Amino acid sequence: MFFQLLVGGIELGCVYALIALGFSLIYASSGLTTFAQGEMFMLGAFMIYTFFMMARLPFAISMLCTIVFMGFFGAAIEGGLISPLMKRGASGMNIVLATIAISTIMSNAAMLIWGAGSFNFPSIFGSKPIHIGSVYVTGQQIAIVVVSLLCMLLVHFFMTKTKLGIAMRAAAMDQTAASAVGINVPMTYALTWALACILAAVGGIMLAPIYNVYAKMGALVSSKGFAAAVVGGYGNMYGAMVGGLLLGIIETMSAGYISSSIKDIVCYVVLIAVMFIKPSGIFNGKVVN
Amino acid sequence: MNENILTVDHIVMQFGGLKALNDVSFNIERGEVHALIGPNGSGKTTMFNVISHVLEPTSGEVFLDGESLKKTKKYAVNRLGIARTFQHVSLFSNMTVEENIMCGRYSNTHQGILGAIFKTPAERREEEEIRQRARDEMKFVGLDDVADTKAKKLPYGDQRLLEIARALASDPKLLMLDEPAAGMNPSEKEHLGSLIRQVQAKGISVLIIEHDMKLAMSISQSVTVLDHGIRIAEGTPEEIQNNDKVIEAYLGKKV
Repeated sequence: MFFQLLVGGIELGCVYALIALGFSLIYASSGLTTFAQGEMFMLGAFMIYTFFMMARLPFAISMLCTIVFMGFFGAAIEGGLISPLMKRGASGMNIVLATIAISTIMSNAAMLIWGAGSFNFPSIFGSKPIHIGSVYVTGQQIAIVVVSLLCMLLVHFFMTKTKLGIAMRAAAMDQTAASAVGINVPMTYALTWALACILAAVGGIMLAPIYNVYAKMGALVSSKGFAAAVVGGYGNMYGAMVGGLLLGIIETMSAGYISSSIKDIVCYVVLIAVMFIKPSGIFNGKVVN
Repeated sequence: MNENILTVDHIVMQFGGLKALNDVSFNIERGEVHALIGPNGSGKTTMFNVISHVLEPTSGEVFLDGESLKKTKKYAVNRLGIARTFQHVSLFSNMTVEENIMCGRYSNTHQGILGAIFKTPAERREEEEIRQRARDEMKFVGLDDVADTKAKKLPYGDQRLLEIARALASDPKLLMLDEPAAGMNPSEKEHLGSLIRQVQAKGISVLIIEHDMKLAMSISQSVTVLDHGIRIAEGTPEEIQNNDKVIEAYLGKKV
């Protein structure tokens, strides 16, 4: 049973990690906290539903369209709302409120556009359990883990090996100095939001076959993703990855060994314990390595 | 070609009721080292921030090589040829020495995001060029043996040198140094003085704020003196050292 639960935990944890990564990237780059990550996850799921199920495009193209759309959507939220608010002297608290407003508007708008129902989304990678030793895994589960890990690897590569990623890290560490060496700091903010939205959307695309697609699905991952980012060390991208996996595994284990009604209690007790023992998180927070 | 690399034209910088800079004008000749001095609070760093576009002046204009910088975006000033260091060291503290200098070079590069992701041959060549340049600048300031050390782990004097190397990596026409010798010991100061002379020998003009008068006077060819946001004197180091107004500003009025 342990390994079966571990598989489920890693699967869930990978998606938490994608959401957490968005929280941490945005915080590291601008010191801001967004609470719209859950709705970005939801919109990602609805966009793939629209492209794949409604427009009947091939899956790979639907996925590409969703990712491109979500990238522009994230940049537009930053450029059209967050950065103008900051220019008018908004505080971090104002921005938190603005993102809560966005998330509510988004989930209600989704209900108006696509309806209040819950939509089935087929398992592209197969839902038939495959036997590996004593463990059953579905193709979809394997795909979730592979795609998520691939995303994390790409983020790591992008942030440490490409000019643009290094510029984003530089702007996060010191805005004034970044500007002085010719880095377009506002552009790095927009890019960070684009990246955060894409990561959340990938989570939505991958989980859609398991949880269906519906307007309130953001709640599945938003608070856990945030918790994972904090546990891992808020603002640290590697911490977000580890925190997400850890939370997913704890949640699945406690559901399996104790009871599924108690799993969230265990998760949040762990969160509080981490805050007591290591307030800066597993990795030290706000270190954009 | 313009005779002056930089022209500061009637700059006023007002913060609320305070005029931090009051109608300040001066020129920096191409190829010279120009010192900006004055007592604490006289507006030197404010002047730096106006020139490098961190601050937008209340009125007046700055010209680089005859071109007005008024419409230039903050981050684009570096691309036009102005690089600077900061009074309080501003490094990318979690990056290595080499990465910091590489960041300084990025504004001169052309390969875009797609090239970076797909690692095109052009991108690879450029990356190698940036790395080579970073190594050259490290060697120039004498940090080549700590290439992989994180910036925050460097001693203070070396952090100041790293800032200079990062600024030089962008091939500036004008290098602006804000109190580069602060916190340095006498031998470090001597090294800094010789570095600045070498920078000048490369044809780069330098504007320097410096409190160490011995250093400022020994490396500069002309000096502008600010006091309470007003330009009170300009001239060669010898003229400035014998200027009554300057002596008064530093030491108080003669009785």
